[in-house]
Amino acid sequence: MASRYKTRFNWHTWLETLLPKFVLLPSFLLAIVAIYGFISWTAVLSFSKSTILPNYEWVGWHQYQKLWANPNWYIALKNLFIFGSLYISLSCAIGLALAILIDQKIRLEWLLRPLMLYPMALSFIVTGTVWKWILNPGFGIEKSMHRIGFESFTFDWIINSDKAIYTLVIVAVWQTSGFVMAMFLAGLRGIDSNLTKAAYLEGANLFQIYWKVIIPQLRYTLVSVVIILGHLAIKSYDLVIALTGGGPGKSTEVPGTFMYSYTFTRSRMAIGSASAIIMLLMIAAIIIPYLYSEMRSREE
Amino acid sequence: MIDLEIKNIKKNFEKTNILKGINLEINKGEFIVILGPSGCGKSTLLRIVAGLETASSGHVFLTGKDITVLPARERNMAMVFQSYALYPHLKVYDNFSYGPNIRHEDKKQTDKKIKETAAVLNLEDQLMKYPKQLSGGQRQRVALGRAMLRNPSCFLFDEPLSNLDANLRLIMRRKIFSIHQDLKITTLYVTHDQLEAMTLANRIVLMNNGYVEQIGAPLDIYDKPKNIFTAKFLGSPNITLLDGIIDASGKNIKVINSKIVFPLSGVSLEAGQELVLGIRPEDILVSNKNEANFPAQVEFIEATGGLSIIYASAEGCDIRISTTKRISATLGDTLYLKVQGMHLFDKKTSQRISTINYQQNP
Repeated sequence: MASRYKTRFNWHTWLETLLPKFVLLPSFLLAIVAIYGFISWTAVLSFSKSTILPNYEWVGWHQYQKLWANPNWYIALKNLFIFGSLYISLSCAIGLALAILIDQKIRLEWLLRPLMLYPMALSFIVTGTVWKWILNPGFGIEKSMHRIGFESFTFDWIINSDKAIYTLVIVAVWQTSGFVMAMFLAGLRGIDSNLTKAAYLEGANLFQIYWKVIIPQLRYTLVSVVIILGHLAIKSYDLVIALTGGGPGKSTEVPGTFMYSYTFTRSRMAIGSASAIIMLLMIAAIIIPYLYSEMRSREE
Repeated sequence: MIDLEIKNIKKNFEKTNILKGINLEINKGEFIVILGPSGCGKSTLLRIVAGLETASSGHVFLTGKDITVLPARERNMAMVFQSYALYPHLKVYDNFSYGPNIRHEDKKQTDKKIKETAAVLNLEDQLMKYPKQLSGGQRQRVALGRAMLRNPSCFLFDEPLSNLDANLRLIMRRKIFSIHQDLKITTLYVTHDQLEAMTLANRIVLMNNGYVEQIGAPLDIYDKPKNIFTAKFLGSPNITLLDGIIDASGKNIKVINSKIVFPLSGVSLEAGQELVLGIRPEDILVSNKNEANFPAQVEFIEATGGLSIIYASAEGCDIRISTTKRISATLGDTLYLKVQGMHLFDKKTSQRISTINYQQNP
């Protein structure tokens, strides 16, 4: 009996076992080609003599040597460092503060929580464009302050080459701190409320409870937040293009804009590819230890 | 001397009344167990005493001082939670020192006290471990130690042993008992486990549905239950309850819908008075046909070695018997049962009218 069932071809089971594979196949192939294929292509280009168009003459590490001798690359790295460190630390601080405030059983939490998350729903291009107007001294905050009587008020960071990088920080922090808040809030809600009560009965005040009992337990959330923000900072491109376009001068040049301009506008594709590979390695340096520790903690 | 006084405490959550006027006076050094079924309001009462929740009305006094609105952290009370509530990111030692450091107590003194406490609780080797590296019993001992280091004016326990297995529960019960014997600190202990209540308490406060049903020493409550609820809640297996009525002569109690009759003694009641008879399982003896009050058919026997519990049925009434004798009977066998004593409750008010003891007045 059993053998008769085995030999008979059953459309239904055949479809059931293979359908998921069929459905996933296109996106799987697309990922192989569009992600890993182009990563490999970029890697190959970075070892080539390419200029305006790909040229597969092998030159070894030559383009990397040129990249690390390029002063613009150092400007981009310095800007990334300033932007990244301020962006991550301010987003964490503001996000955590908002999460703690929201966690105080306040009214209208249902309204405030999504309200603070909305900036995250905008694309960086939209955010950048809107904030370019807000920060423009000609018709933004500065002009408004002049109009209501504060004639001496100046806020021209966006056209000031020493300060322009900080406008990037302001806008990026505005965009992501709501998201950071949501992550910390989820972490806070996962903490046993009896811990607060126990500490309270031991004589701790609210500040001591948060500082010594609650916040230390958010350290795993903090690691996730820093990694997410860290890779956002390294690959930041669209916000810079929309807000400052890398200027004034080269004052807001970051690796992302460096890579684009060398590859596509300055006809030095090989150096651009080399910088893209360096960015990939930076992100890998953050993500791989994280994934590794995640997988290890899951096995335990 | 009255240490802790709870005066007419009421608590409403929106429209539900959790506590409907609780009054309690606790003497210094007394071990009070608040016992009751889940949802009776016992944990809410404890949290109000701790200051973790506010009462809707009423007052709490500690050594004569009104502490109703005093913040929890100024009450000098220590609480042990069912979930232990240990700080997971701190080692056992730091869990102990957290409170003393916050209260700016002398560091050397604290270190000495932590070592003494750890010795009392057999935790010397665990001080440098994190809570998650400890077993449930060890975690509960850490929670207990943390409460002891508070040097509180009052200990509060919220179902502290509910997460432990039966054997550990027994050991921890003894530990809590001996610590109370040593320190003589006023203790309020909330549980739904009657065994914990009977073995630990100086006095039990039996709560039901937001009211205090009865307050008294454990054996007093067991021997003189104020009403049917108390009689039913204490004792394992449950007390047997039968509907009865005083017959026309006024000398006998007749079990309704059956031929079972018990002589009335020690109290005179009007003919026709409706009663509920409460018979403890150990007050029913397996006897012979001549001496017995009534026969019953065996439905189920739980032989646990030292004690046998027999579930039997007599003319449709469920009877529970516990005996140290080993009974060799099987399903459907007839046993002749003799009743040694019973509680009489008024059917209308549920209050106990009297207790009959047939051993003294045969």
